[in-house]
Amino acid sequence: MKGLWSPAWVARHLLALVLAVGCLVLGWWQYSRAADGNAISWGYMFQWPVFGGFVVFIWWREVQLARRKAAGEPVTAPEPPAPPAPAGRGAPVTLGRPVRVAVGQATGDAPDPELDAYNDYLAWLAAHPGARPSDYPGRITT
Amino acid sequence: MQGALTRYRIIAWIVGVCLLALTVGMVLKYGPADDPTVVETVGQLHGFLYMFYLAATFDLSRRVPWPFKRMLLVMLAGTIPFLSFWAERHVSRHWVPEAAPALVE
Repeated sequence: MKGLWSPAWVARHLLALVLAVGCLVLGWWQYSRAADGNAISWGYMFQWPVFGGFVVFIWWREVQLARRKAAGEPVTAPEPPAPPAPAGRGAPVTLGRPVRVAVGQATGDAPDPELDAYNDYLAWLAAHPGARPSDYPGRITT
Repeated sequence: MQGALTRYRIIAWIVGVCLLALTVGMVLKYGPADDPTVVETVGQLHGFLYMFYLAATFDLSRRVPWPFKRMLLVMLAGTIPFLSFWAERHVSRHWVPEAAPALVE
């Protein structure tokens, strides 16, 4: 593993070591303060090692990433693929939150009686400016 | 990814507010007022919340994904009063891609 001992990596190892040991030392320091009667330091005493552990975790993950990259494996798990698009226009659409929906041209090849009826209703309303929606007589089909 | 961003933004905001409170507490404790009450109250809380901030930042950074240095930078930005709010905005606007439209046929 020569890649993990390049100057940049040695600097990272040192940084991780200094940070982790530093956190432990700070935790020890808080312990001594707590033992001297500073009650609030008991909490800090537990927090510092957690931060130190986080440093180790990040360091370990970076090392693993570098190893995998060196071995030619994929380094990042891809985002889960989007759920398949609902088939056809009648399929139910469920949305978790408001989204921007692309406004596309309605495909003309598939007849949609519901849409035609609605358009007829809108056209009738536009043609009768004073009319209320309840005045709509219904679609005159030929 | 948008969920991770939301988590990050929420915890960043909370930690930012906590940090401001802690700064005020420091002034009260070590300043002429000599009153350690605020530090004693907020100090522990901020420590634990900062852990969540680190976790959320880490989660977001591996989902986007960010370069390693950027992740460290964002983590450190959470420890600086006032700057943390600016950093949160910068991250949300420039370092996370926008959500793709959910429905494109």
